[in-house]
Amino acid sequence: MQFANTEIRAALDELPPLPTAVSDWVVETGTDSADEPAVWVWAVLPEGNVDLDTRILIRDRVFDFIRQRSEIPVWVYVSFKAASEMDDTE
Amino acid sequence: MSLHADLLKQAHLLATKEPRRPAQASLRRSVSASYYAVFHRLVDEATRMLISRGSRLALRQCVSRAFRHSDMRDLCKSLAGSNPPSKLAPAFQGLPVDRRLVAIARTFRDLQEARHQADYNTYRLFQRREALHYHELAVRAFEDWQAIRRTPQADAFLAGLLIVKHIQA
Repeated sequence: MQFANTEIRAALDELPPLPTAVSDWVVETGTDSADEPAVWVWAVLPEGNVDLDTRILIRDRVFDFIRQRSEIPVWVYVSFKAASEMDDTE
Repeated sequence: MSLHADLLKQAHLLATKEPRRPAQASLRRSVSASYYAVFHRLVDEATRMLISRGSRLALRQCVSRAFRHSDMRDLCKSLAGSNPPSKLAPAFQGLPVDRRLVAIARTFRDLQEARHQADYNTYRLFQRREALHYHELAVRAFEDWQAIRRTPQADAFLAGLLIVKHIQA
């Protein structure tokens, strides 16, 4: 992977304003089931119930934002968690 | 009811099966059902388009077995970046890829990876919210597809799901 989780995490703070608050980002890098480089991003939402249009908008913005900054074509998987669910990630 | 419609319904039923503490098995099967709902919808649409004569159900079923998840994923990877693969580009006539087709492509690959995680990654715990998110993505993909089906780009996409790897450069 050409850039580290911490760099991606820091870059996400530079995202233009999103339609809903994201209290934190959790980032992992690796290879996906297709054995291709991938980034997994969890957007932690203080309000758990965010409508689908907003989630898709966040997904697409994060997807484009990271891919534009990546030297190699990575796939960006964006998921959502409520802040109250963070202890149950793994 | 069609298989893909049944799977979409099943995905929601499984995600909400246990009212209080959802079983991981239910959530994982829900995620898998969401993926396969979209997969089978696209395969069904593609075989109906490619074999349009009546009374060819058996042939369509044979052809449906030729679709490969990896080829479909690769096509979606190209379209998700808003560009058709070069070998299929002429069928898109130089026009921008419809945003709903881009959304379907992104959702297809997201769901495929989620299904893989749900079926094989036992270290990862799924939340009901995630399973419902993937179900909603699948529902939206159905809606987007309904809006663009039978357009030239939608037809190019359907054909590409099966043949893009076989087009001579």
